[in-house]
Amino acid sequence: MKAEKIINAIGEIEDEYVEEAHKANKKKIITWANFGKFSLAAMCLILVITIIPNIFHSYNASGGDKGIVYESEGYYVNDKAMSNGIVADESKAESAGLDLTVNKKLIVTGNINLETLELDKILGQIGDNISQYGAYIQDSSINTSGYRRIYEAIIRIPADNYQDFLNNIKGSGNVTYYHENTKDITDTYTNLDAKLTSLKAQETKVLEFYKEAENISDLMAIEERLSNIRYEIDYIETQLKNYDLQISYSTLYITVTETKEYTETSESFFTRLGNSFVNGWHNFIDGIGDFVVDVVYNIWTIIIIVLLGFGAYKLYKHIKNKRNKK
Amino acid sequence: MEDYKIVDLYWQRDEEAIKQTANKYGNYCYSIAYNILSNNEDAQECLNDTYLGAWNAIPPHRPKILATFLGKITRRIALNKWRIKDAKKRGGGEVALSFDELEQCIGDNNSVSEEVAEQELIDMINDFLKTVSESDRKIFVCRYFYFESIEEIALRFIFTQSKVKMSLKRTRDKLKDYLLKRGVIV
Repeated sequence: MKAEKIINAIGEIEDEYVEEAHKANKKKIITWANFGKFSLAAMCLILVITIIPNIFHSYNASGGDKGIVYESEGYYVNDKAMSNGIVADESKAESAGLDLTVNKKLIVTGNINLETLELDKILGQIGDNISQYGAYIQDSSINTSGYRRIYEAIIRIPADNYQDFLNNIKGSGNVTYYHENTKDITDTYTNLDAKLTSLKAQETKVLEFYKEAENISDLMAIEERLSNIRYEIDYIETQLKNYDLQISYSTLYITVTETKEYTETSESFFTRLGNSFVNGWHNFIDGIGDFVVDVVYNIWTIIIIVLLGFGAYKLYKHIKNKRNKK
Repeated sequence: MEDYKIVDLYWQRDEEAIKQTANKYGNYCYSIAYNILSNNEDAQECLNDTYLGAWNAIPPHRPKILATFLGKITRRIALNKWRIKDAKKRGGGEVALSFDELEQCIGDNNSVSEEVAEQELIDMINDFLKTVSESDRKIFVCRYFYFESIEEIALRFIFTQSKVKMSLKRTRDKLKDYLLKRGVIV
C-alpha cells in the first residue's frame, strides 16, 4: 500500500499534536438556550471547587502542626517548619541515607516544588550543585505561563550525595511541596541475584552435557535449553543493571516557579482571608478572560442564532398582523 | 494517580503500574484500538499487549506524556493486528477508508519514495503540521492518528460533516504538495 509509510509516520508525530487532538472534545458550544443552565452549573462547580478544599484546609490548619499539612501521599512543608526542625520525614531520610551505605537496596525518589523571585539565580545554584555532587540532568524544560516561568527537571544524583544536594536546593528557594519515596527492593534484588547464580550454574552444567552429547537430536535439545537459559540470564542481568542504576542514582523531580512574591503557608485567618480575596479576584479576571475567549470562539454561531431568532420573530409578527387585518 | 508516579512504578518494576495504567488510560487506549479493529475482543487483546509493551519499554524509556506514549503503542499494535486481519478479509472500517483517502491523495501516477528514511518522514510530517491551522491539524490527527470517523470528528468539533471533509481534503492536498516538493512523493 502506498500510504502505509505515511500512516506509520503519522503514528509517531509529536506528542503535543496527539494530545491536542485528544483534548479537542472539551470545547462545547454555548447557545443562549442553555446559557442559563451552563451558568448555574458553572456557579455550582465554582462553589464546590473553592469552598470544599477551603473547609478541609481550615480543618487541617486548626490541627496544630504549624505549616505541615499531611496528605495521603506526601506532605507540604514551609520554611518556618523547616527552620524549627519540624520536618517529619527527615529522620526517615537520614536513615535512608544511612541504609544506602549498608547492604539494603533502596531506590530513593524525591519531588520538590520551589518558588523563587529570581529563576536565573536558582538555575545557577542548581547547576553548581549538579557539578559539585556529580549529578546529571536527565530531562529539563522551561515553560512560560502568563508572567511566570516554570523550570522542570529530572535530576539523577549519586545516592550518597542525595541528602546534601537536597538540603542545598531546599535552601535556595521557598519550598512549597516536598515528597520523598524510598522503595526497599532488597528482597526482589536478592531473589534475582540468586536466580542469576543458579542459572549460571545451570549454564555450566548444560555446557558439559553439550560436550558429551552423542547425536544430533541430543545436541539440538541441549542447544534449545542453553538458549533459553541464556535468554533468562540476559533478562535478569538487564533488570539488575536497571536496579543498580536506580539504587546508585536517586531521582529528584524539581519544579521551580518564578513568582512575584512567596506563598505563605503558615497564615493567620485574616491573612488567608485577604489572600483568598486577592486570589479570588485574579481567578475571576482569568475566568472572565476564558469566557470572552469562548464567546469569541463561538461568535459566528451566536450571530447566526440571533439573526435566525430575529428573523423568526419578524415572520411571526408579519403573519400575526396579516391575520389581524383579515 | 499522577503520571510521573505511574512511571516511577514501572521503573520500580511494580505490577501496580499496570493496574494504575488500566484505571487511568484503559478507556483511552481501548477507544484507539476499537477505532482500528472494530471488534471488542480484538481491542481488549490489543489493550493487554499495550500494557505489556509499556512494561517492556519503561524502563529504559521515561515518557513525557504517558497518555500519548500509550496511545502510540496501542495504535502500532492495533494496526499490526488490523493488517493481519485485513490480509484475510479486505475492506471495511475507518482504517481502510483512511488508507484509501491518503492513497488517492498521493495519486495513481505517484508513489512514496523508498529512499526516505522513517525518521525523516516523521520529521517532515511534524514540520508540515506546524504549517496548517490549529483546527485543520486537530481534525487531521483525529482522522489519521486516532482513525475517528467523519461523524465522530464532526460531533467532537461541533462542525458539519461537510466542513470536516473539506478540512481533511484541504490538509491532504497541502500535505501532497509539501511531500512532492521534498521528493517524498515521486
